Amino acid sequence: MTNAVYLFGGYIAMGMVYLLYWWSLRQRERFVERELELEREHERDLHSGETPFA
Amino acid sequence: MVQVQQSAKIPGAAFEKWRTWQTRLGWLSVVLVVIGLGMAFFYAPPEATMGDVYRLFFFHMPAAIAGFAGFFVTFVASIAYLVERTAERDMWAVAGAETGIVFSLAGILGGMFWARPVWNVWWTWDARLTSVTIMMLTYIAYMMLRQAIDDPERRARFAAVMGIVAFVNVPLVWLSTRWIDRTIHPVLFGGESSETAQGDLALTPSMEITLMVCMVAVLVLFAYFLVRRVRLEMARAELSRLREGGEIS
Repeated sequence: MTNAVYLFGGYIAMGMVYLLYWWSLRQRERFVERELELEREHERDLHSGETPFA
Repeated sequence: MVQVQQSAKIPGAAFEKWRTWQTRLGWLSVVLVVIGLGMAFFYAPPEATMGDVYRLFFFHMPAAIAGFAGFFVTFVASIAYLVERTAERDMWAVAGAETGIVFSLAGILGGMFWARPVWNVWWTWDARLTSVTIMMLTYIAYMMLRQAIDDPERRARFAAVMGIVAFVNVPLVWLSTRWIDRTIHPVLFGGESSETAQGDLALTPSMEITLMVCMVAVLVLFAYFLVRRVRLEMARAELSRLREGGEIS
């Protein structure tokens, strides 16, 4: 392999680490946001006195 | 059917304050990384013996420094937590360790691609590489310890002690190439390379300017990830509070 392959390979490897970490954070944030919204919806239903089968 | 919204509002002044910082740091890091890459490839001259492959150095060293910065955040936040036990201090500690691992991994990978053409091996059990491996394993163990304990207060207390003890590794990694004579890893700042070092380089003024720009770019990127990780912990804490029957705001 030439030096250029190692040079670009190294930058791609480093970039992939940052990109994967950014993606992993985004996935975890989305999961927590969804769960938060579900919890709030559940609480609102409880306080309104309505049931899903009414 | 429950409608799931993507923009769940999480109460808390700190959460909102850091949202602004996260956006600013994110865009600033994109701009600085692009400038840094441009300078690393087009402004800095080729190195006399290594040619162009040495350009990996401009993001390899800053990534390693950012990794140290992450572990330093864990160290300081862990001490702060033991002084006054607030959940936010524990959040900074875990965020520091995780981002530190990510940036150290990027530094190691960049270094491996530089080592192959210069040292003729991807990896060798040199003092610097061995000490970095031990440091990484210690912080991975820190993250595993956190996963193993359910009680939040107990988890934070145990992790704080480990976050302080684990930091002993960081100065050892820094000093490994300065204290041990037979090492292949060169020293560029704060000391002289050993006689066995390979891949040493004398920085010209344009290389130094490029390194400074790349250093700032990577540290801003690090700050962005750190803030984003802390905000994730804040959102998780709010979710736990709701699940335990807290009031809705």
